[in-house]
Amino acid sequence: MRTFMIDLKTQSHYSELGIGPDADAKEIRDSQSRIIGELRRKLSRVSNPDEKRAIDERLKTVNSIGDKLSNPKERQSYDAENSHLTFFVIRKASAPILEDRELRLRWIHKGVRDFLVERGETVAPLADLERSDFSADYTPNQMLDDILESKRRG
Amino acid sequence: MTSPSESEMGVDDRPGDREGLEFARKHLEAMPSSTAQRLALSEAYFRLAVLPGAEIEAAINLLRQAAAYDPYHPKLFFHLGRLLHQNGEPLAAVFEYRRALRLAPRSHRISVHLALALLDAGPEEREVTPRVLSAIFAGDDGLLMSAITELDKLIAWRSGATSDHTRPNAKRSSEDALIGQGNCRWRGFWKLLLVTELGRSKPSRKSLQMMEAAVQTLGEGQNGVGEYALAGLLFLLDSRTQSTQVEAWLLKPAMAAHQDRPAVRLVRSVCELGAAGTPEDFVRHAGKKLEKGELPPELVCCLHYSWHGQSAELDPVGAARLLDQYSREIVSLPCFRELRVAILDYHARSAWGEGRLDRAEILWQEACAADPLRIPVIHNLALVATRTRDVEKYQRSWERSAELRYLIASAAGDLRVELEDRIRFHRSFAQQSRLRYVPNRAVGREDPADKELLAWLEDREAFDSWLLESATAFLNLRLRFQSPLHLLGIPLDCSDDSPQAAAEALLRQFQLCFRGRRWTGVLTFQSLMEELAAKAAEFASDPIRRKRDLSFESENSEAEKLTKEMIGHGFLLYRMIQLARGAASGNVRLSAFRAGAYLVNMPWRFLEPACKKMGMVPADANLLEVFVSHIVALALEESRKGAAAQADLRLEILEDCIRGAPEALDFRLVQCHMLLSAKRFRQAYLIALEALPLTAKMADQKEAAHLQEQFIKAVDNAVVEQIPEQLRSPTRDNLPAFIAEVRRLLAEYPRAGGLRLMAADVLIRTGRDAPARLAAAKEMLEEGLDLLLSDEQIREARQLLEKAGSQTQTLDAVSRIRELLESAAASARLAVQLTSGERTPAKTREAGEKLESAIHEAAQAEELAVEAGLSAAAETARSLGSDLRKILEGIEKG
Repeated sequence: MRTFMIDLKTQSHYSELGIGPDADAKEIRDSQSRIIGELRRKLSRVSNPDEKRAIDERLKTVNSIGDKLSNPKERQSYDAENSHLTFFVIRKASAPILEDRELRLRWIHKGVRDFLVERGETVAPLADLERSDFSADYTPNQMLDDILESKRRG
Repeated sequence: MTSPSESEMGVDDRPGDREGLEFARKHLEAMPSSTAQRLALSEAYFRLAVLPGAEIEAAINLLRQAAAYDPYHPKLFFHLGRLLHQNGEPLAAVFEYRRALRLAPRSHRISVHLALALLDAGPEEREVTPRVLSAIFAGDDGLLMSAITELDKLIAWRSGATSDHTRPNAKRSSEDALIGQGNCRWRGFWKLLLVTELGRSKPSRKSLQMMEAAVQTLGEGQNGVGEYALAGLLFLLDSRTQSTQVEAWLLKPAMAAHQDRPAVRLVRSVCELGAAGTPEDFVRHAGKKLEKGELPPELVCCLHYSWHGQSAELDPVGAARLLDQYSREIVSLPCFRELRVAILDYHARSAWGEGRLDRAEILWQEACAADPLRIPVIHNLALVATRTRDVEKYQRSWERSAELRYLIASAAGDLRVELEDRIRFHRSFAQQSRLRYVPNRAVGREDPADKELLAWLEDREAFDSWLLESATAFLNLRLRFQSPLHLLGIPLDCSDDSPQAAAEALLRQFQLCFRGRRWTGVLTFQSLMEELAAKAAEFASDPIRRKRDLSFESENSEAEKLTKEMIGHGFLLYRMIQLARGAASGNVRLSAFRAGAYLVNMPWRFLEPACKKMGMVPADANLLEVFVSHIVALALEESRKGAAAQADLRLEILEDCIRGAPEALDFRLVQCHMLLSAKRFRQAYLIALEALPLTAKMADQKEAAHLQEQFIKAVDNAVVEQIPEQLRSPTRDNLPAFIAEVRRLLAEYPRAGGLRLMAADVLIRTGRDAPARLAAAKEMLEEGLDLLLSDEQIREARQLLEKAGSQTQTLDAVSRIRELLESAAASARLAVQLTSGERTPAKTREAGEKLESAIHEAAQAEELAVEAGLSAAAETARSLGSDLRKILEGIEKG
């Protein structure tokens, strides 16, 4: 049995920047700039060397994390190594056609078209993905057509 | 490339066509190879593939065969792309469309379908789509090629074929002008543009303009009316407020003559639903229209969900009640089951977002009742249990969640179904465990510190979870490969026995990961796995087919990445084992011992060459041997220091080690020791006996001799340990009990040669005056002579037999001597009696005869004693003879 209990609030590069793992590039950059701005303002106000050092460290971390997440390849690699961040999240259980607008449009187009064709309507398919008759794509081939003809004649 | 036919001839397969084409294919295949024959064959394969009703996977294979006969016909790659796209592989479809476009660069039909596949592929590909669409719209081949070049860069980036790791950015294009058909030669283009536009956002000014442009193209005939009405319907899917606008389109002059067309009637019917005031009105009207067959149920489901399913006005109970207002027949339709799940899930997600976990749980349980095999629902229920920290529910729901991911693949008969989700599942659990003790470093990739690893090892639950989930993720990662060689993890130039060995290693890993998981469908999954491994091994065993492994090159970088990851994982395990040796904590030792089992179950035969190639280990290193020696040392230490209560666990881990490295006999020796410590004597005895002949296969003779000796000792110890303590040192008093116990044990454990020899020796040593013991010793030795385990034992047995034999002879001699001497003494006493009274010549003669007989017997006894080496007895007999002779002389002298 699975006795090891996971923690849904693990620390991550995303949590360091106060964003979710699904954040886009702009959100990452905005958050990085906001935190760096705050830290710099704080740095200018403190005089205690220990505090200054701690803020410096935090600045370095935020910079490094922000740069890493802003680089798509590095972010992809980080996400692959930390797939739990996007895995342990609530999933949509509904069928994708109900949630994805474009998918739904295409699906309904196909379904309604089939419904209408059954009732004698003429509606062309949206694309070849919905067609089933491709006899127009046959290339005439003497050798093949002769064999088919001879077979047909028995 | 021919232009597409827009006419539909029905979807049923045409048996006559299929039969004729199959006949032609066979006929052509039997003909001598020529260009004409190959082209005809390609066409035959093509026609078979595109026959209505052809099974999709089979059709894909037929098209691949067609392309092998004629690799220059664009239609083959176009249809391959189409089928792959339909089969849910849009990226593979993009690749095939791209090939088709190379052969027919000006085909708008291919470009349009390429754009459709791009829309369904990853987000990066989706970004390229507008440029492709713009280029097709403009009919600008230069622009199209530029967009395709951008796509090529993306394909190279995806496949890792470029050294530049930065993702190519899609250039932005102006799409405002994309209204209508443009210069596209493919007739249905405007509808695709409309779907793409509506798919991106709610009805906009641009999409309305598209409809205005489309109505201009409607002629006086029938053409285009159905498409136009259907396009209008698409505006209603997201928003019923568009009903008025759509009705206005239907009343356009160009549509006036077509008000009775089915398409127009259907769209008008949907507009009426849009005008329904309340959700209840909608359901009532929709129900009636469904019963009359005016609308397809799928459409009603979509409308219900987007118009009322996510309404904040309805609480979950109200939403469910609304669904129940449809008739029973309607509710039982599959699409209505989807609707129910979607609505329950919507409300459950809202409850989760508000922190109302109990409500979310109930709603997902309801959704689960509607579809018990829906992974997201089970996944969400597991997350609820995680957040509420309900241990029992947590364990049950995550197990169910994992089980379902395997069950669905088993049911589909395809291990790759749900594969990516399974990989993420196992990786995520493994990562959670690792991160608890080895946090992510913001900068660089430093190795974990010793103290971090020790803390992790101490937490056995977390650590065991990491081991199991990582191994299961690696197993699933192998299943990603289409290439049989990469699936097995073997190189192109592998040895003849490698494929089979790799297949066995893969199945061993499966056993390690799934033993003890009594999931529904896991046996089917296992047999599918066995089938896949066997097929891959069969393929890889043929050097010619190996070179034709089409996916080998394209999957090489991914395979190398996996190999590196596995090696890194293996060396981390090794480091943990080294760290745990000498550790005071039993948890640390046990965790590391288990890590050892996982380590030796990794396919080092195939990973080791990669380590050497990367310069990680010397060329003559034998990694498995090194790992085994450390694990054995750790196992012995753990066995010595570990708690007795953990004995079964230790043995279970050791069995895993043995399965992983069956040739490492040290593991079996440790197993014997552990079994003896756990007083599982019968098993220890059998395992030692089983391992003994395996020593003969060892290359190192000295090591083999040492192990042989150890196993023989183990066989004996397994039996000797069973002798009660008070009988272990046999004395004269307990000898019978000792012998009885030995006899009982030897009946059960006849090959315990050491015990047999020891007991026989005791019998012989105590058998000087007990011939029965000597006989028993002889019997015991003779019985076991063929069962002894070494030459040394046999030699010793023979010596004992000899000793017993000679001792028996001595005893016989002693007995005879005693008889003779007693008889001589009796004769002498009689002679003395005869001569002690009044002597008569007769008495004197008789006494003389008695004495002479006694002297003869004494001489015989002396002779026997000398022969048997019994010097004391010989002296006694000689002395008696001498005394008797003196008496005889005295009598004779009178």
